Amino acid sequence: MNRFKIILTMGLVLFLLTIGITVHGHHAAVAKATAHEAKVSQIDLPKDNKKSKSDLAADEDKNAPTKNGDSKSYDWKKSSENKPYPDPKLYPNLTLRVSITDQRVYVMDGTKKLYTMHASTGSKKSPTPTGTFHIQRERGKFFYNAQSKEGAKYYVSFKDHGIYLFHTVPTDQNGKYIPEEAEQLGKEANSHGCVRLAVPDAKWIYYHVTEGTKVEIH
Amino acid sequence: MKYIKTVNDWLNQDRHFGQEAGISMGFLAILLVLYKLLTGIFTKVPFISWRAIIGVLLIFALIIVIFRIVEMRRK
Repeated sequence: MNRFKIILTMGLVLFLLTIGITVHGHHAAVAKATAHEAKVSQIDLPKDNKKSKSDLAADEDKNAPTKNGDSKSYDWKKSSENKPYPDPKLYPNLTLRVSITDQRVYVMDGTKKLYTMHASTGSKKSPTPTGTFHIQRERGKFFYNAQSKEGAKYYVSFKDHGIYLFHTVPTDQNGKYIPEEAEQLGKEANSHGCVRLAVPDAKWIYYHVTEGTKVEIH
Repeated sequence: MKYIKTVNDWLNQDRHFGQEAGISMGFLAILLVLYKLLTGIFTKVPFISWRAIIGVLLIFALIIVIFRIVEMRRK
């Protein structure tokens, strides 16, 4: 066997090794996601089956307790800003920039800030991963995690296919928001790694931010 | 058989080491890019990132350099 054949064979072996490693890595990620799904049971909300989007919004208002007297709390049942949400169709380079330091999600078009959302990212024990990600296929109107005894509405995955999500402030298993947790929105990083948002903000992401949209977390 | 012979003749041609290394690197790069594209098209899952492809090519380059050093020492 001449030198060229040896080098080519080594390249081929390296290629096969790469395939093996990536396929194994993919299977491991799928197994992790499946295990998570077993814990996070996606269920239909009570009375949620045949309702329209507007009915859902009305439900949220009924479920949402009023803001308490703490003047520093952000109203998590209202949009973070008093202006219309940007139309993603007008901004093909739309990016969601999550600032862990600021506890904010900035909707960006290049360097232009289009909208600012109050957020709560992962606590020190379970931090939100940093880096660049993209919105994934997995999204839904409600999930409940029996292990953490918390759920959320309007979730959209950005990492590990259903593990790291954008979603509303947390709910109980009946879909009722937990005020003590919700009032930390924009102030304290206290999630389990996901990015918590005000209800209309999460709803906007759920309905308008498409798969593949860039997510930058820093 | 005709094609096998043609390929074998091409493989057995005398070449400079740099040429052999370049062809092998290109061959591996094409295979990796095809793998990325095909898995992306058929499974919609990016099995391998561009960063990983560059990493594999760098490892291969390192292997080739080590191979060359060993070969030269033997001579």
